Amino acid sequence: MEEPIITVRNLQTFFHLEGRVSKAVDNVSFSVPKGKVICIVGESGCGKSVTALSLLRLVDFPGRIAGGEILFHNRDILKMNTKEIHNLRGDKISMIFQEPMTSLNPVFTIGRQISETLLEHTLCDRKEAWEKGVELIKKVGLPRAEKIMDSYPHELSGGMLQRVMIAIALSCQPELLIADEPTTALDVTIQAQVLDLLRQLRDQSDMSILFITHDLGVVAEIADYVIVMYAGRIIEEAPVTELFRHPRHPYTRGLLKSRPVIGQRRDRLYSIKGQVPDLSELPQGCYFADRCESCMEACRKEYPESVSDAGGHKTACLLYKEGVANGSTTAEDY
Amino acid sequence: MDRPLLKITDLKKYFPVKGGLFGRPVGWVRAVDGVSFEIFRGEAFGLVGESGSGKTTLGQTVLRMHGRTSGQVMFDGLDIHSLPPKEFHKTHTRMQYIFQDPYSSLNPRIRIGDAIAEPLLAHRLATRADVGEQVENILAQCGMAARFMDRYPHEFSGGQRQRIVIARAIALNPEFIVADEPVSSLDVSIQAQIINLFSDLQEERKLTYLFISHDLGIVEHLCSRIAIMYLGSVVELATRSELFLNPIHPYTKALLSAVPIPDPERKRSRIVLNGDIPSPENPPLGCRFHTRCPYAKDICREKVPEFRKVKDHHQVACHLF
Repeated sequence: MEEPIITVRNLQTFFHLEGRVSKAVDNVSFSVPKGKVICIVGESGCGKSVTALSLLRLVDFPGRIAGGEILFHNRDILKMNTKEIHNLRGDKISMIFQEPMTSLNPVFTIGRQISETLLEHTLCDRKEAWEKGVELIKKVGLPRAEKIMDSYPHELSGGMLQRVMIAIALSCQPELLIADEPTTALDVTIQAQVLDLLRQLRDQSDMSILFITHDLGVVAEIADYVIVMYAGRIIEEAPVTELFRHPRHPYTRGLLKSRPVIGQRRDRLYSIKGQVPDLSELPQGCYFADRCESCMEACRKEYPESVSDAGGHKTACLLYKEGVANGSTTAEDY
Repeated sequence: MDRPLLKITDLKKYFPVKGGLFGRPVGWVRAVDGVSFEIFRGEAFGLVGESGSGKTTLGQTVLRMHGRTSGQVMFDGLDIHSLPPKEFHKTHTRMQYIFQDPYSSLNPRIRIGDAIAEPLLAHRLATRADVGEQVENILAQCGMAARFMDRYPHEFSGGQRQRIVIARAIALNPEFIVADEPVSSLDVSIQAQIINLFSDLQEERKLTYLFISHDLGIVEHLCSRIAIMYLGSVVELATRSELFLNPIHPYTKALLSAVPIPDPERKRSRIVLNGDIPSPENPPLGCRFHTRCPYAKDICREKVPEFRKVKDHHQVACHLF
């Protein structure tokens, strides 16, 4: 297998609040291969965004990366000095956020904000940077590129701004694009446009994408490989078709069942009872035990280890401790 | 068929765009521009549209949270917008509104028990003595324990807050509830709980809903008739099965095809629309959708299509059908 672009090992990001420690990300390991889309999916508070921010060391006080390593081409990002990490951000690894409206500076033109990244990371002058900016705007499918370069963020719609954000993120041809809920604030028809664009860009440039979302529908549209997080830990991961065909962890299965799907109406929606545990008072055993329908006594004693089957489908659940044995009892009841 | 509980006729709501030296209106935002439909007693009516389509303004104008520009809203024979204030105050017990964001719809300084008791006391439906008991019952119906009564909103999660907001809305025993994106700020697993609560309450209390949402999956689950709104007007209205099996309007089709489906193996032909929803301040002439419509013809650019019946329980505004 080809060497991955980025490898995360046992990442721990903790928040220290009022004398308590919230384990926002705990023991998370994964890697992103070249030219693939890896999706991290989970609900609010599961640590998916903090994982993304940790990759670029953007976690703010009171958060702190407490342990683990993040290897980018075999160099540990966590050990880089300020200058090295500065050179990495926006150049080799870039990021787009959920709210395009708040990610751009309202007092500068779009053109200036696109050129800024180019001037910072490449050897080009203002004029070249501007021309490159026009090209980028055309590349992300916006009409009247020259006019957009001269406009201010408030003059554009949410979908257009998200395209501008993508253009800025792509300006230095990054190897890895981290997209944190890039379509959540957009309407469905615009979301479809942006997803198409991201897919196209990946195919053209062999860029890898780490895509963070809470929407399993979006995951199915764009992912090659899926990581499901719950309460700061990875509970299941598998290639996309495998995950949707044979979801295993009771949480993943619950999530898939609780979403109404057009054309498959049922009288009553399945719902996972209860709510996400407090990250500073996590139970001793499996974090999902209180909400789980198949909870056993052993589940409350220790956190289950992640077990992988032959196909690379990893599940952190005692039901699958013996590996593949009972892995086939999944898709039927869904 | 029964008499409709709510009948909206050619309702319009324009907001002025102020400009110039003296702040005179220089233009109008046509948020709702000529909408007519009926909602029958006991049904859940879905209103779907993207941001800027005017669905929230419509919901609020129906409950007279702001005045109309023209048109009529008849609620059980009462012309809501012409009622004198005292009469209108009485209708509050019959119609209620649930907002999208449960975080900002509860006063952070008021205990939730008091927040639910307030409308009961204001309308003299309870006395100080028995209000506690009533609040307890209502909370229980919404899946919340009585011990939560003395707590403040910040102690609850988003899903619990939405339950409290729903409890407050049903406290007055209304017949009609406008729910404006009540689950869109919640997590998927919590969404399902709240949607089930909505269906339970509908069954138990024979409620009528105007359910506003951008999520077609949820609307299909909950609503028996659905209207699709685009740029201030309704483009298609049909029963659930009609709309999802035989969508007619190109916008409805595009909307349906854009909804992501959690199945990576299902290949669909997707209609990707170009561009954005135009500004309601300066809507396109003719059919409002023609700027993004893949099938637009000359007539679409000139003439506004009539909203007409194509079959039983199916109305559409499009020149092509």
